[in-house]
Amino acid sequence: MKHTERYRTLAVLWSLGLASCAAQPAARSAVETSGVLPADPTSPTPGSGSPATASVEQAEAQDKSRPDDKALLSLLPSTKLELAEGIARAEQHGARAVSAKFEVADGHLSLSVYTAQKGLELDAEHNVLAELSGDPTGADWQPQEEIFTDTKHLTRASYHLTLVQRARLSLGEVIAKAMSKQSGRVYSVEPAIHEHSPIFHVRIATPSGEAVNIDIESGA
Amino acid sequence: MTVCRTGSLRGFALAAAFAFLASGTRAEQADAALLSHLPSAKHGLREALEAVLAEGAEPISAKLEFEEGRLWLSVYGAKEGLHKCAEKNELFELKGDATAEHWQPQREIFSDREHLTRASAQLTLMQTTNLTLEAALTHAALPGKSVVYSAIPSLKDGKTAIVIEALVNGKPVQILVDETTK
Repeated sequence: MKHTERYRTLAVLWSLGLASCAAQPAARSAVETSGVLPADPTSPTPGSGSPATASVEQAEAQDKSRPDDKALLSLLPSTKLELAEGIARAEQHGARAVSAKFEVADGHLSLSVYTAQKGLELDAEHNVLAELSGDPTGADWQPQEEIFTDTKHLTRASYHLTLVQRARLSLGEVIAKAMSKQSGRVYSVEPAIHEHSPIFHVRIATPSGEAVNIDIESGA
Repeated sequence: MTVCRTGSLRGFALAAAFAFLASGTRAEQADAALLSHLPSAKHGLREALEAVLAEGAEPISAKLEFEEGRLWLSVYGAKEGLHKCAEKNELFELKGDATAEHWQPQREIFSDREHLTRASAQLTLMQTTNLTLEAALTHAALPGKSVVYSAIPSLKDGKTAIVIEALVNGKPVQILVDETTK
């Protein structure tokens, strides 16, 4: 790990505190090693009444992609569906997407979208939290639906839903915003928290095959 | 300052007593029962918050509730504090008889859907505000004889607010406290 990246890692972990809250395990480690530097490294840690830093909307090219992402990045070109399209499909019948990503499952590319089936008006307790996932390399994405009942996924999806409810951007808008800053293919978008505010971690595979992390402010 | 006093917003003002006798909903009946038993409480929300803080955890909501014929003082907490998300935290409740001489809460770690989703959302909301529940109770600036029976984070107009409910001069009052409250 280069010195600058190590500093970035420490600074982010120190300042964010919530870095480990990102969604899926593969994406989570990326969040921990990239993302937002505090405007003032001496600022108080979250939870102690610290004011929000000026901006978290910045693109940071990664010195290297994570080992876990290498397999994903190599499989990503085979998708016939973009992440935004998967989100739109997941939202066809009134559900709202709260996070989405491409991932490698059993050696195959999979597109996964977490949804709140009753939309954003109802909180996690009164919603139905689910995942649509399936092979995006075929002619038609035909995802399987899993309604969450286990602790890990219920807490994760509740976290995502609450942040998307708190944010002022939809996942589609977040992706569009990220794409205006970095060309490539978005392969992960998930809400997170920085300085008490919702943000979105967006990961993009660049045309040259590198992974780039962009944090998008939620507007909240 | 944006402290909103909205008594009877939840439809359980004094009229709730009539609703209880007439055709009140189950929720109204429960609220009426709670309000009628609040004077018997010997322990308040601050004590519950302190109990969570004393074990190094972070309180994320607290309330007095009337269940199974008894008045309970309940507080939800996040063992790892506000620096860990719900998935990496331990969400729990301390709950005990609010009318007993000494509040001796039982501790339950949540594992069921209802409580996991509720507590996860509450933790996330507390992570998106500078406010603590203790500070919100202070900002609410209630009269000395008030009985606060609920302090729960909520999403109001796209922002995190702490909804404080209290019995003030015999009437239920709801107060929203957010980061702009001075």
